[in-house]
Amino acid sequence: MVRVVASSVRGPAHALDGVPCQDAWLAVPDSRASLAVVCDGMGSRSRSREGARAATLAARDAWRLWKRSPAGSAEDLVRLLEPAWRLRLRDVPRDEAATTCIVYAEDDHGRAVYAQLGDGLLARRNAHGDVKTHPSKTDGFDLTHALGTPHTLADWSLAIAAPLAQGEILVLATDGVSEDLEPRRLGDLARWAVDELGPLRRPGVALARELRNWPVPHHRDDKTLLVMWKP
Amino acid sequence: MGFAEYHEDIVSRFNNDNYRSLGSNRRQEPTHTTAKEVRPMSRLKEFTTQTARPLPVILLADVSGSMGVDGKIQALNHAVREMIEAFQDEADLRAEIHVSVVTFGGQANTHLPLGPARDAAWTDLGARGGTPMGAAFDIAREMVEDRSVVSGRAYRPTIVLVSDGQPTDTWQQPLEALLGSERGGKAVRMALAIGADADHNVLQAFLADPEARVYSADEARQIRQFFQLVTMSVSARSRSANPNSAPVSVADDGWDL
Repeated sequence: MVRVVASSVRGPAHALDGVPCQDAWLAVPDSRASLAVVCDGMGSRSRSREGARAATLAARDAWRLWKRSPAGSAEDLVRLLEPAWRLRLRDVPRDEAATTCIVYAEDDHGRAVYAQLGDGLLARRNAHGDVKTHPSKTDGFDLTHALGTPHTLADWSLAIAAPLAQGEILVLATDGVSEDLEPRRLGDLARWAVDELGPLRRPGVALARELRNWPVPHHRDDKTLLVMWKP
Repeated sequence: MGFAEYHEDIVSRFNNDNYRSLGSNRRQEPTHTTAKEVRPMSRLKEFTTQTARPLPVILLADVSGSMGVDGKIQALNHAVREMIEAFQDEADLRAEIHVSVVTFGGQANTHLPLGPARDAAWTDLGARGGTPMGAAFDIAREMVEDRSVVSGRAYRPTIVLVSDGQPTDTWQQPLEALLGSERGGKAVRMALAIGADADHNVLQAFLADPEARVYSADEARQIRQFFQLVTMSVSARSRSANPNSAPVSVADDGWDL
């Protein structure tokens, strides 16, 4: 059994401007092979909401094919995802739909892939409480890479890992959340989502309420937090 | 209905009953309680930092002996004080403006350590000695690259260089190191040449952009105008949707610099 709690909420800046949330997420919690995706449409691009949505679906498209083979590499998943995103966009200009993309994908063969293009957070808490954060390739002052902006395969931060084990918790977040998190409290955040939101009837709604009441002064970004775990 | 809500509903069904897991066919008894759902929660405060993201502004100020004539150092002191006060008065910003002042006159020093503008206590600068601009570049680079000083949450810094003369130390290598550093090279840079003796080539090299403008101040009052421009630029960026994006253009035609 795999569980997920996730929500995207519009940030105060977009609310003020009457612009909808430009983050998107998608999760397929499955005991055989799970998928989790969060995307952050770049605020400066007019179609980034569509870009973020298309990227979550493109990740799922790519994953469905990729997970069938025990030989697929992390690079292969990205090689499938990028054209799938372009096709999903149809006639939307890519550069107007630029979006970051963070993917956790398990295959049917006992492996998982971390794939991250741009800023945001992908972290994992093991059953003992140790937290490992997947390093992003976003360098100083988050001048971020994104689908729809010039980049190469090398700009993706990729890694192969073991699939989620019992008691493990995965945390994915866009930068509206990750930039304000205390790194030392990541594990506690994950446990909070599992222990306090998990039992609720509509945990996503409760999480959205929390994200809307974000406690950091002057915060303005859209926010997405996705927590996936194996009880 | 937004995209997120659409998927939220799907996952809510996963969590609720027989869709709890695609790999599980057994219906699980709900473990939720009504009391928990109506209880107001503010737990995220425990996991987040409680300060806004900083936007650092680092001033590299020439305080060599030549700044002591024609009222230049007095004008600089007045202008910097005004700039800091303007930052302190700013409200509704996306970022919290942090300020540091590095001086180079005789030797390079950190006159005002990097910290929130609201806490900055300004003391006037004096003018003396040569123009060790290269040493000031080194201090700026070390400051920007030190993640305990400029944290990973910080927005791109603005580095402002003000000088009325030629460097008296080796400046090329320190400038290269600053511009070539991981974070220093991404800083927004502005430069002011004071008087006819200022080395425009050095200031242009600092900007590292042929299209970027080195402002010139022939009179002390224009120093103040330049810092008003810096203040507007920083404030506009701190209010923008993405303070890390290219600097917001501010009209400078009226400044006559």
